[in-house]
Amino acid sequence: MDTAVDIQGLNKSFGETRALEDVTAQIMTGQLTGIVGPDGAGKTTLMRSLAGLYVPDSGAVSVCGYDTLSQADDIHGITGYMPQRFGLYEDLTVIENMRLYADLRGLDTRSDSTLFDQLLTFTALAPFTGRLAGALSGGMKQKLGLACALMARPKVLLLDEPSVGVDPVSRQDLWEMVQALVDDGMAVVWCTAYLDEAERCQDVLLLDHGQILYHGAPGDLTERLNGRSYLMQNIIGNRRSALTEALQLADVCDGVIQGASVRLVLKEDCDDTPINAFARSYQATLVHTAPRFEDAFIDLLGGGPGGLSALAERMDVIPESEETMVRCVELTKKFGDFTATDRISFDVHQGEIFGLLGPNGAGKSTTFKMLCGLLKISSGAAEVVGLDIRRSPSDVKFQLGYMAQKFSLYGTLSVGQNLDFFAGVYGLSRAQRHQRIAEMIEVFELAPILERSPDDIPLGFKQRLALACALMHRPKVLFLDEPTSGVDPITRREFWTHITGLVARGVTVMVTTHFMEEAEYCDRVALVNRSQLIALDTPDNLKALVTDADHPEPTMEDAFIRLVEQQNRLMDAREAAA
Amino acid sequence: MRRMLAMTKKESLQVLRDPAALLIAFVLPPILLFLFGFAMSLDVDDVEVGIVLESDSRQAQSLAAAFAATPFLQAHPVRHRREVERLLVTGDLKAVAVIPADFDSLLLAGDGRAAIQIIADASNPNTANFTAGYLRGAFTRWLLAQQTPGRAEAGISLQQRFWFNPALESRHMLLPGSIAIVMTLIGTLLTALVVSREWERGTMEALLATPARVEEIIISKLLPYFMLGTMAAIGCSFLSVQVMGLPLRGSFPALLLISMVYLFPALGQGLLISTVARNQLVASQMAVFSGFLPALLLSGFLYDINSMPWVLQQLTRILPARYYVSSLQTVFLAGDIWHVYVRDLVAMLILGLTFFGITRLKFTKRLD
Amino acid sequence: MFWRDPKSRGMLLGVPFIQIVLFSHAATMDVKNVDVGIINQDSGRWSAELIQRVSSARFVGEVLHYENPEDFSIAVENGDILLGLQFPADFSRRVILGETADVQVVIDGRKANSGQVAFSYVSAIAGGLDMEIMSSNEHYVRPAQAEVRYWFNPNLEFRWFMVPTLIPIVSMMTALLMGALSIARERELGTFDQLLVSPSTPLEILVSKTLPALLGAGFVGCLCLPLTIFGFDLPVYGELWILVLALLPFIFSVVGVGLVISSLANTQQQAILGLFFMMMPIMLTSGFSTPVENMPEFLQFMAGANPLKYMLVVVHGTFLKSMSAVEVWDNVWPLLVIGGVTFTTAVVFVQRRLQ
Repeated sequence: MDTAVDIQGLNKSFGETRALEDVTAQIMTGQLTGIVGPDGAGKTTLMRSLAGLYVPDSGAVSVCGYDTLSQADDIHGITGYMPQRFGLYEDLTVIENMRLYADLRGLDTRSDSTLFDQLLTFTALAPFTGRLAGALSGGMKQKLGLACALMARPKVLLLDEPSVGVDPVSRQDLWEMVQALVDDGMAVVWCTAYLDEAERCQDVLLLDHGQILYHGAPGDLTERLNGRSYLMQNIIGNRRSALTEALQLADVCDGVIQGASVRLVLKEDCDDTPINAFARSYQATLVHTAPRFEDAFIDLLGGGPGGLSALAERMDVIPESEETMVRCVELTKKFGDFTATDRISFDVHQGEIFGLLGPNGAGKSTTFKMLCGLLKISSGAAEVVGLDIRRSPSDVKFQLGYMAQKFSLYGTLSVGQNLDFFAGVYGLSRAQRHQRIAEMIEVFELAPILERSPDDIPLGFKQRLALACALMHRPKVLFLDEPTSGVDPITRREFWTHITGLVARGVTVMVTTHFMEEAEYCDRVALVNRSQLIALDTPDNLKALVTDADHPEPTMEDAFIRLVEQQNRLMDAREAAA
Repeated sequence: MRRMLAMTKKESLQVLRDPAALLIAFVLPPILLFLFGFAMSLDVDDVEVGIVLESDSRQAQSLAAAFAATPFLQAHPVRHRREVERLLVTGDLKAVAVIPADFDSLLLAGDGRAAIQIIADASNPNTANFTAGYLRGAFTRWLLAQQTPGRAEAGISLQQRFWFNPALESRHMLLPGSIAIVMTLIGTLLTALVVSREWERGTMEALLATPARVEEIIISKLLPYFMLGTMAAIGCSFLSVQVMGLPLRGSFPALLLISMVYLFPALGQGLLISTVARNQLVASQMAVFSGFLPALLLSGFLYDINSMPWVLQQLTRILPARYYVSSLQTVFLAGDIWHVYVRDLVAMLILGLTFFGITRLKFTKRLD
Repeated sequence: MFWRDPKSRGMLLGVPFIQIVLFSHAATMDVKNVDVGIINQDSGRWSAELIQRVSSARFVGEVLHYENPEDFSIAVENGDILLGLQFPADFSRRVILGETADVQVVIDGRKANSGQVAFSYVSAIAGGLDMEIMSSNEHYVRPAQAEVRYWFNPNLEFRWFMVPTLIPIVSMMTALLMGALSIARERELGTFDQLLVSPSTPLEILVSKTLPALLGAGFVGCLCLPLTIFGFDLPVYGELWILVLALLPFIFSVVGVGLVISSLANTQQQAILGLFFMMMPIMLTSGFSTPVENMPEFLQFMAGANPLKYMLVVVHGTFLKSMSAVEVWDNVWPLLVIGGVTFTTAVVFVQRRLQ
């Protein structure tokens, strides 16, 4: 194997912040190399340095023998680079975007259309060549981006977080495409915050604070954890409170919900007696399970956040009631001839975490938006806390909190002013406002950043702030729209600690996500595909639906993909028959 | 070359699909021309004036009739002097001529005394000046017609001749200037917006990582706007000449040449702004303040450059629009005067080269 | 919200200042530094006297003498001189004989405006000379005159007209910008959805966008007041409090226009271009550059919906004319109507987009 990229003692600073510190590594051809690390670790800076877009402060990067400093033009000729927000022209069609990049890379598409056709088949974009890039779904956009980056068969392919906002089906497609390229001998660098992806790489560079913490095969790192990962099964009682309590044990390094079970990782050199005892208190069985890369990652970074949510402790307990918190009856939305949501019905009970899953463009966002009052309902009915959304939209809005994917904070206001603004929007009295804001600042530890703009605070703080703003008026139902998209595992754990705590206090949570680990936290999951509700059950039951001899232990992702594909086949067959 | 063609094609497609760009490039120019051609008329007509007739003599009535018959004036009788103030304050009347009770005797005095009083609302000095002038002129003509004794037909007589614009139509003056405004909008504002949009949306990052060279990126960005500008120049000229009656005394190739050369500094300025700003909001502000407003106020088409304070006069020297306006006025109104063209073309080329030079220095294929 | 962002704040305060300086100094109808060309074929006393008087006039810059008509023509064509005087050979002789003595005055029609003003200056000088010559003749009977009085601005200072108009124009630009960007900006940043899921109704949201714009633009307008009065030594004959009060309905009507643009725009760029698209006609048909009465009928009719048109009447009325509150009201109620219509339109548009 040849060295595709050689990084020697790379340093890069922006003002006071040192983005990369003395990074030295080699990336091989014919391999898939993952660059992983928490938010702010320097992943994007490294990618841009490899693409020759940043000049190193010291040290050197060479790609296929060309130096990024002096031979950047040669590098641009042999690398394909897909930035985080891929630079597709949204007002150009799929084929126009592809032609542009083909021409830019000196590819004659008229005389040699084979590559073009190959790429179109490869990305399955052939039926959409005439569509504007802006009108594509998230997954298709990333495929198009990949196709453009692949123009002229680069020797090195640099992908910066290509799977953010992409549904599991499309993500699987992306993976297969990239794997095929690697098999052809290309060097592919895949930068990601998702660790299940890192696990599939042959080589992993783990960055933290600009330094390499680990470089090698992911399996080698995971191996170190052998015997430290456990699954707590058959829990009697609430699995979420089990997790909360488990995370407070001195010996537990990390823990997450996995369907009806709780996954725990022990600290190094710790005995499993205490957790065995703990498991018994829940009458659960504790079994060893194979470690995952994510377990190793958290361990390497010094363990996850604790299980207690200071926030939840401050929230008033919402008295239990039998009332249905969210109810959809035959909910339908039509845009012209197109039915975006087709007669969807479900009930959500108090204290439930309810997941709304589905491929990009399947209609889950439309459903979500109708429930929040952002879209008008075409037919059917929706109730939140027993109130009809159509009849009393304002009353409904007092009962719900909403946190959007982009966090929707005002960059021109300081953190404190953001809190003040949202408290004001919900019409809190002056005294209440003061009290709530002070409370939020205390629980979320926002005091040191109060005067700063949300635009330049770390992602973790941004997420806390967005959550604080959504909770200011103590809503009974919390709507989360892809709340942890592109967020690293540690920040994500912290977020879910708060959500778990809130649910324990009686808050009901509705969540959409493309991230299947998040789906595991849900009590029930509604799967939406092609505008219809195709499955509604607990995560474990959904997994059971697709369990067979070939797939004895399907993951949530497997379940998602197979259920969606089943329905697609069914619908296609029905259409063909008609 | 193929890379450039590809990017040029892409840019053209984008222009054609952006409603806001189309609005500025195709809808605003005719509206602007129309407004400058019709709304912005400095030619005063139908001014509302009042006549206070305090004498009922035959002479006084004859003068009042003469005022009423004056073209450009709409005379209204005013019953009493006391009403004058209110009417002038509300702006119902722009001026009032008072014919006093002793008008006849004043007329005969023969010592150059004032026989009538003209009161003009000078809150708008221009209108006041014109209106008072019309009223005074009407009075003088009436005097002559009355054959009042003592008026010698002699003395110094100034024969004014307005070259290039004998009928003194302000439209002829304003239309060439408004073409310059349109070209500035397309060249500077639109260009600044589209290039900064690429930075903002992250498409520039992807472009930089391709083998395309900086010069190729710059030129291919500008070519479509160059074409758009040239098309706008032709369209605006056609509209001005065919619809608004502006003469074209110079040659069409000369008009095309100066317009194309003007696009050079205008596009350069837009590109420079977007390279410095990299943000649409800031870019549009900078384009308005460094491109549009100066072209409107300092280019010499609305206000005389020589009458400005020294500092502003010096500022106009680095203003491409100033040279373009000068050449445009010449080509439309005066004819092909190459001395003027060459002077202006050289200035525009130098400015254009400067803008592009700075842009080339600032624009690197790096993100830091 | 604008206020808390230093960049926006700089824009809001810096921009009006630049505008005032630029407009007040650049936009002048006064004519200065006129270069005059002379062809004198007369060798007598009177042409020399007239040339002498013109040369020493304040509006004249350089005086250039030409020997032959070709050079003179080229000078006019090249724009070297704005105005040229041609004296025929018998000029002085005819003056002495008491006959009509013609002077050709050639003016560059490309600059007809300043040319006209310059011509009127020259003709005043010639008239003065003429009068002196004639009054030396004892049989001369001076004809009756028309006495002209310029009310409200006795010296016809163009600045007295221009500078007060900057107060509404500057506050208008601020208000339009704040209004136009308000919703478009939130839409682009994604915060608009966050507002819509809160219990606020579209009406409340728009009111909350209007109030800061009203305050901001009002503040900018009030800031301009002392700047214009003291900076340019303007007289104030009317009541300033009436002006300040009238400024509010004016800003309200303009913010309404901005909000309509904003409710239609998806991005900030569209909002800015839309604002630009609206601003040009508003400025040009307001009477700011040329009187409304000079426009064709139907444009005058359209100008009836132009808030700036009414406000210019008010601002000149209060600065120069001591307009009474009742007379100001005649120009204020149309502003309230315009504001009401635009604001309602914006509310309807925002509600429609919620489909």
